[in-house]
Amino acid sequence: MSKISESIKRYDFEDKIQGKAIYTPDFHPEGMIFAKTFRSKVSRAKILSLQLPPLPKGYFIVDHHDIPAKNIVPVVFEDQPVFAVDEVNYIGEPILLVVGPEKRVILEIMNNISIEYQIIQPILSIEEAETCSAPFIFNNKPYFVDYEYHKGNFDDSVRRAKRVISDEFKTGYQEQAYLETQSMVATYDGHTVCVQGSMQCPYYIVEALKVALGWNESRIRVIQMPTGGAFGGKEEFPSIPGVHAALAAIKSKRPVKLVYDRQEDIQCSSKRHPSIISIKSYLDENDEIIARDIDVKLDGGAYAGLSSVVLQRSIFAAAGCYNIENLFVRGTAYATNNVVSGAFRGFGGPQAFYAIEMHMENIAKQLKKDPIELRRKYFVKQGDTSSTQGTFHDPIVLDLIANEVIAMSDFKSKRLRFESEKLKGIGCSIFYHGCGFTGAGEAELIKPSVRIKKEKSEIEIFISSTEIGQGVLTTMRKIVSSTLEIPIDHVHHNYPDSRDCPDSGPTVASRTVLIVGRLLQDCAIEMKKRWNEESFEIIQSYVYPSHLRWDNQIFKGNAYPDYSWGANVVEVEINADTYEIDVKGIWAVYDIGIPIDDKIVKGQIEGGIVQGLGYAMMEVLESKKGKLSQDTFTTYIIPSSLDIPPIYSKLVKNPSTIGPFGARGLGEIPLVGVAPALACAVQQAIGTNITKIPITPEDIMKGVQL
Amino acid sequence: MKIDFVLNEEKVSVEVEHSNRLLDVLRDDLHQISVKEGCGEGECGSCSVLMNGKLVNSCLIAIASVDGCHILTLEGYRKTKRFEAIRKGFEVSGSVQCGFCTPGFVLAAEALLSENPDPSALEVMKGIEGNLCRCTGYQMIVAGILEAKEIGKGLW
Amino acid sequence: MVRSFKPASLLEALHIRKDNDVMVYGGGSDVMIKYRSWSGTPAQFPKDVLYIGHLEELKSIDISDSEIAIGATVSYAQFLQDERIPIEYKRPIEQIGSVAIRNIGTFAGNICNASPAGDTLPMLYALNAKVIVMSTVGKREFAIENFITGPGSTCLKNDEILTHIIIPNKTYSHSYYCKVGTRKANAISKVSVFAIADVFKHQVTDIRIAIGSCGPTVIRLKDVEAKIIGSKMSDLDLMIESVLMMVDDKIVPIDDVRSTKIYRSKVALNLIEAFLIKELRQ
Repeated sequence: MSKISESIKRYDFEDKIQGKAIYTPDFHPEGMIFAKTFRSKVSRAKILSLQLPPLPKGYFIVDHHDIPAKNIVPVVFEDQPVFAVDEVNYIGEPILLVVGPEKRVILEIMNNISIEYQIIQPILSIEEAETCSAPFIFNNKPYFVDYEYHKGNFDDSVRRAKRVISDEFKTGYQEQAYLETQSMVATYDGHTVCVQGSMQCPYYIVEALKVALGWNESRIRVIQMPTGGAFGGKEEFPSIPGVHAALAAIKSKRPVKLVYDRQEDIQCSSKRHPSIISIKSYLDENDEIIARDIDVKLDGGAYAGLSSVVLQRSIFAAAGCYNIENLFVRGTAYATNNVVSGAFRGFGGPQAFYAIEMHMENIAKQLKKDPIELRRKYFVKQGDTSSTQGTFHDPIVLDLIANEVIAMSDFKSKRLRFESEKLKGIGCSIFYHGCGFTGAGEAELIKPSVRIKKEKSEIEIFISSTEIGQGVLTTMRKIVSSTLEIPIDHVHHNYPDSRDCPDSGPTVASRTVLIVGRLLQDCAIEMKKRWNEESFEIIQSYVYPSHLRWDNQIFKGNAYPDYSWGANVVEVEINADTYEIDVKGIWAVYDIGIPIDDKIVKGQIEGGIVQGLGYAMMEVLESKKGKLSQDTFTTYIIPSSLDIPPIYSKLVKNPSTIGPFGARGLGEIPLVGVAPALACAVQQAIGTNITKIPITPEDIMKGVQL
Repeated sequence: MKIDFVLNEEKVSVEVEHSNRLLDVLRDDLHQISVKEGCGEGECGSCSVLMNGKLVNSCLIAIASVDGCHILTLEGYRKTKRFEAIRKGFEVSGSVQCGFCTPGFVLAAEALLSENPDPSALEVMKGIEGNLCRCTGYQMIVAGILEAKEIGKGLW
Repeated sequence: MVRSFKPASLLEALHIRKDNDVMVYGGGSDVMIKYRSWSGTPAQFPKDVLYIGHLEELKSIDISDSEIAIGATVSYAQFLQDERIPIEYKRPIEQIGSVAIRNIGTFAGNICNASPAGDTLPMLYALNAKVIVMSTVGKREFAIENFITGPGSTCLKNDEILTHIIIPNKTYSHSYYCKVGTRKANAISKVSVFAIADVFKHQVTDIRIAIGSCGPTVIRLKDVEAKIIGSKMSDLDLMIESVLMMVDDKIVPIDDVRSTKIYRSKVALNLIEAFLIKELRQ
């Protein structure tokens, strides 16, 4: 075992176990007042009039008039306002804030705001968006983006094909359900506005403040507070409450706290994109898959947000871990009057892998082949060309991963046995997660940099990566102290503050250890050379590896700088009376390179698997007329301790050539493969194809063949 | 109205609305920041405290019904030897990630172990059934409590 | 701002109830959710509140040879810890909510809340439980199924307090409970069935079945019970189809955020079949 993998006590442990960590809702700066958001109750309308009650002294309304520069939330496109002006596009869209010292008075003011709408016919699903006509939500088309890419000679192979196997799959919304809701506190001293809160990406909020306020960065400060879970839900969304709180603090000249209640949080924060994915495989006379046609449709909601980037990851992931010579892949992110979809652990991957893995399963079934062996035939290998025609430069150990998961779970004999045992099933999935930003995004969009400082024998790390429970305050210290070969307690690292941390990029995309960790390692190597100097600092910026290529116009080249790989097996038994799924066990094998801390890795794996299990079979979240039906923790059901099956996980140690100490990305991959493995197991158990997730007992009842 | 109760073994008196939630009184009036709000409807257990020794969700308790009761929060519990055992158990088992649910789990563990000092893994899972964690997937919390019961043998 | 009352005795509570328009607060686990407001602000109770959770007179479980009398403020946890109570009566209770909910939740609250998904109710219906309500002028007694008149509505008058729940103290040769929830803990039921039976010399001498979450109230299947009582065990296989048809006629489930009408019907029938065909044989 690698020395660096040995677990140490987490640096955030003491504060958290003792309940001393101050999360944003626990933070009360002197003179603080409260804000509450007044939101649209309709999914699409013109605002005809808005009447406010008289305001008592010390109370404020903050709306689009209070934005000094642009009323835009900068994400990818400039379509989303910070506050609605004369139209609303989804239920929960912020219109204004009521700000003041007494919550009771704020509620009274909220209750006395009257708003008159002129309803416009809303577009409420992918299907409606596909056929809708003007007025469109986004420019002059029903979608935000549509993409396609090709590999090989698709048309020729289709003509050669002797058999076509096709499937269509649907996936639902998923709510991140971090335990701490969206929370921000802003303060303003007459010159600088400071936003402190629950977040993944301090510099996204810095950018949002620059755009809305038109101020330069010297007047803007963003600090991450201890954050009670994120899972993507605190990637781009917190820019909205962050700017809201800042505007309120600037107007009221008081510190302002903006904390969402759970119901408000579920109704209006971003969700995992619902999808409809169809896949057609073309087989030749020897039943070899010679071509594949993939079409991914996502419901992006009312504003573009990150939908374009999620869609990119989704269409790359939809090719799966397979080398199919001829591909035609399309994707569309539709605009609807639903809540804005956004980042969520896996970022388009879980939908795509659910579809491609179910499709492989169905091909195996039709060809009467072992489901893993059929997959194995097409596994990508080192030196192969990827779906986007980049070369896989590094060793890929999918064979080993598959062998391990088969052995651990006793897959083959169970699979055979359950053919004759009713209501029992076992299923598998093989998947990857591209680590870091798509293509050359790290170099071209993010341009991350890091800083470390030596002051006598003490070292301090300055990065904008956030501690969201994944252990960054511990792993980065390990990387730096191990490189410097000094005791770890001499290395200091705190929650990021934009005042002294450079922009190391957002804490997303399984990139933190791989990209930011590597930059820190590079700094530390440099620092070690100059160790005799008493005090100095080193700043290191990312350089795109010279062996990689990417053309973002035609999606050609190395889609990601590195990849993590995995396989899951899930065994189930269906209750004959209630159609409930009893998950007997989950087996998981990953290549995440060399783990930086075994225990932290295990925590990411088990937590990700359980979140994936919720996505697969529990977490029903539906939009009815643009309103989410399950908007509390009583109705939106995430797994409890009693819903957890035994989880057996294992790592194959295949060092990354890019990551520090051979580590690859880990945060997302554990969630990605659970749903297809579970669905394949249910499919075997009931004998009917599963075409949607989450799979509920209600669905199983309809499909069960006894 | 004036409510008197015992918080972490000290008498306290607060002047609040009778229908204020115990959660808000603890957080806003008595600065017990370990008591977290996750859902506001008794589903997540982040606001767990012990009321007369029993685990309760403080979001579901009107302060009027707390008059004369003993309330224990992590601020009080963390001074005990039993807490030390749980702390060590959670540390070695990797039971803490984002930490927001952690105070609730610690008090749920205390409630469980004080009723059953030698629980099985299944009994531990049952003991924490009302505490949601979105980070760990629970296995490492269960392991932490099982570890704590060994470390703290004789304390419960 | 609503007022609050915290009486020192049941009698005082009854007088407050008579003289004021008040809502009764027992454990709080239902009303604190129903009337919750923005975090940091008090629950918005619609009327003055009468707190009774502290009343010692209502905190005991009295057991005689013929009945178990549960005081209105007895928590589920207290009921579960009472070793005198038969295990089969505990089965539905130990699946309610979570540890923390069972420490404050009460039978009386569950009954007065009168939800068709109330977790105590199928058992209370099947066991022919009674409720005692008191006012300053006296007490009234109801069979549970007469007391609950619809979703959220009961016979309780404005001057009355539900003080006791009475369960006949009797054991049965067979008992059955199945709750199908949205998850395995802290879940609201989609369907639940509680049933008891006495089988003597291969003949069903008594049987009672109640179904939750399949109609506006919990449904007791008296016609079905009458049809089965007196039957030989060996006849059940033949009768099952017609019995299930009767059940299907009787239940009126709906589609909602938790489940579907068709699922609830099918599962209710499956559970009853499982009880009659599998459980009764054991």
